[in-house]
Amino acid sequence: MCAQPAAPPALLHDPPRLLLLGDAALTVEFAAAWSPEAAARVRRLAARVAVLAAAEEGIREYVPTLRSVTIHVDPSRLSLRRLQAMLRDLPEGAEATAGEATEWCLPVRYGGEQGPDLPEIASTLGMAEDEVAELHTAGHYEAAAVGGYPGFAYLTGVDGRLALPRRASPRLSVPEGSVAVANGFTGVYPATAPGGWHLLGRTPVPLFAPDRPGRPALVMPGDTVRFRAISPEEFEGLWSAFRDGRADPVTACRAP
Amino acid sequence: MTLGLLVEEAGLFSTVQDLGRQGFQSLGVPPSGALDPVALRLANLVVGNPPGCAGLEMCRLGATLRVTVPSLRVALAGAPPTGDLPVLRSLTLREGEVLRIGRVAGGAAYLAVEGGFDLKPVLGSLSTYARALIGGFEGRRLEPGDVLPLLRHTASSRRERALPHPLPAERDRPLRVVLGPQADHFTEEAFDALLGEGFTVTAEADRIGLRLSGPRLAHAGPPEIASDGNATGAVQVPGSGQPIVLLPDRHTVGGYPKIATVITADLARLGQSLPGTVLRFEAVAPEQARIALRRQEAEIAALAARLHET
Repeated sequence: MCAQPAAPPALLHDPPRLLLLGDAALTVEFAAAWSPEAAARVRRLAARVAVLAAAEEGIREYVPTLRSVTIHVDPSRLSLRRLQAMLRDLPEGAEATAGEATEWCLPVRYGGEQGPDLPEIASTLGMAEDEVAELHTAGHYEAAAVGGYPGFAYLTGVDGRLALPRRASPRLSVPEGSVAVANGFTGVYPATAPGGWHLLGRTPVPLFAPDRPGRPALVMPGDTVRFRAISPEEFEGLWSAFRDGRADPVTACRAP
Repeated sequence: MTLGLLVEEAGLFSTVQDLGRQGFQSLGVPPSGALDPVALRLANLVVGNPPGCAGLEMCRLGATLRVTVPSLRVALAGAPPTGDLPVLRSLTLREGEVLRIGRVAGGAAYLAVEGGFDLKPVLGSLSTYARALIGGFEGRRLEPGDVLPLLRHTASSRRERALPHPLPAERDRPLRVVLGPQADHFTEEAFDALLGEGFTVTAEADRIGLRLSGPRLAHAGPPEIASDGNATGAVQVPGSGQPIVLLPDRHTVGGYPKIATVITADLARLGQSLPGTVLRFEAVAPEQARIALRRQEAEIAALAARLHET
């Protein structure tokens, strides 16, 4: 007897929903929200679409999100109806051997002026600030999607205690490199921008550099990320080393 | 000192744009590119450039540019200048001459320069994404004193060329949309309102999107979704019920439900919308969108066949 296939978790759309985003993009939606199961399907479809895109010039690009994949086409070359048929006919197992996922270890100065929300989170959780930082550095995170800002990776795998809703009032300006949590995710602001996440600390690592060869966004979908705590002095030293070219983030932050 | 086009007055929001940046939305980088891609293609055609060559996009108010190379051939397209400069007709300027474009009658005018700008593509494109300082001229809109470097320092010796007319503007025609992707997040009344009444473009209009004012589009559920993929032309509706139509500098993903998406054949017209313009929407099936695009490309090809020397 064959084992019965496991029933899909109730939160997944089965089959996935195909949503028309105009005449030049199609969203394949697996769920209404992120879940480990939805993320696994997103990863798998993205790998399959990579195979399709390599052979079909009408596919311009595809964008994995936390719960879906949006495929952009050149509508004068490929209709969405044909794209749907191609997706249906993709043989099982036709997946690109995805580029090796990279494991990163990002240095973070927790608290102080670099992490202005750390005291409040610590007092909410009844913990010391150091303990909250340890909770964050203990995590092993995965980049489920990149978007919103160039190079902003949504990192999953946050300890439930740090799964806070967004701040009631967003900040008009969050400094570049701020390490933050909200809605069950953690992430790093790649550039100074408005934002509503809780700021735990700040990394000196430039997360996005459009002219960095082959790696404009340091953290790509599928990569894994850990954080390690550093001193204010180390923060200052690394900040200038990365910016005046004495250190290369790609080699310096690759996890051993 | 760099030779090229010296910016004496920058206009309102003038940026270098090509037909967009492709392949980096999965890293959070929007496509950017010309608001009116058809106009950029026609301007390039007239000066003899490939259609996707980067030109200067000038929103609402054109720049004043002094030529500092021996000679330069240029052409304008898109929203016509209100002065006496011709559109879709090449002209050659000599060193020291000044091109004063001034106010333009529409959303965006394009200046193509023969040979193109001597700028370095960023992530495969010369399009400017000013929010993240990517591409174009130093990643930003032009300022007085900038010098746009040119690949050619003398105009080619051929005759000037012109197109007989632009594509029909069809200003009063509704923008055609494919409903969705979040059609199930809206009430039936919301669709009646979207397709029945006009929406006015407010002053909050830039290359990221146009905030519209009109009848309230009511959500059937919560006015937020977990972020999913965006597209240029998508009509997203935040909690206020007042829609925002997304343009090429939009985010790659977004958390507001999208009631409908403008079809590719109408994006050029959308990109020319000025504050105060009344936009109407008409729902079409994807197959009609395909026919409309094929027809538009045929019109462009027919027009291109009428390129003539002057």
